[in-house]
Amino acid sequence: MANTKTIKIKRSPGDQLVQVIIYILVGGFALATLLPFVYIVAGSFATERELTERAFFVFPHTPFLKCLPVYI
Amino acid sequence: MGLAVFKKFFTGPDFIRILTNTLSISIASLIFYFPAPILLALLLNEIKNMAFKKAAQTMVYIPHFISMVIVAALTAQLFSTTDGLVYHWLIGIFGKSHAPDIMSNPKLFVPMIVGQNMWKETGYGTIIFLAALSGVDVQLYEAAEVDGANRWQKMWHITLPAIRSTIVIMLILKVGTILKYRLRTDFPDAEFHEPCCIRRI
Repeated sequence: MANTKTIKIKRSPGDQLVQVIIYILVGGFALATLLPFVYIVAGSFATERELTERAFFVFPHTPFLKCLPVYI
Repeated sequence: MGLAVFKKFFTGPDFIRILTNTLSISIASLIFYFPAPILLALLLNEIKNMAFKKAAQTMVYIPHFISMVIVAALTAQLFSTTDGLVYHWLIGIFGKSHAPDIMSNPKLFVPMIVGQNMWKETGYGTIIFLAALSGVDVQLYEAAEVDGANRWQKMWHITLPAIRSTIVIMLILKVGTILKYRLRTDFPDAEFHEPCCIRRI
């Protein structure tokens, strides 16, 4: 039976650096598309004071649910 | 009745302004927005970690499924001078007295519109180019690797020629929509299908 061994081609340091930059760029763009949603949803659970005082947050210090409609 | 509306539109006082605004947005979109999905598709194609690639693809697709009205509301909220996230960052960089008010600057209207479209549609636009890239024969890359080609040479001589026809077709389709944006004025018979932020001009 033939010995099928996968041989990885070693990348140069410059190529590895470019690969890291590509990962950063793609990851950054993906986060840039996602973060506005996270901010808006988190802001919908926050008070107006917290929205003006804090720049960005995922979890509000004082959750505020009164602005959400309640369907019963 | 039929042609009277057209006559009224073309001879109206705002026609030149409407045409100028429409063409400036369309040309700016052609220059900045059209290459974005191609660049993102090329970057995604270079990623070997499939989990990261799939996660990034899913995240960039999401804004396409959101209405433009919601995107406009998101923009207004993010750039708001009272509690906007971007305005907070600008204050941190420029100071409170020198932070630019992006939403009220008419010169930043076209970049804002193009930026919104880029944020919303770049991810979804990569689908067609990624499909074209998946059709490239892997043996071409292997042969290029054996011949000593680096990443950029492989991209220039293999990847881009492979998707050239797709780029040309998408460019033709994009040029065909160059008069797509119709901006509201006080003209009574003008149609309005664009988000509310356009009204600021």
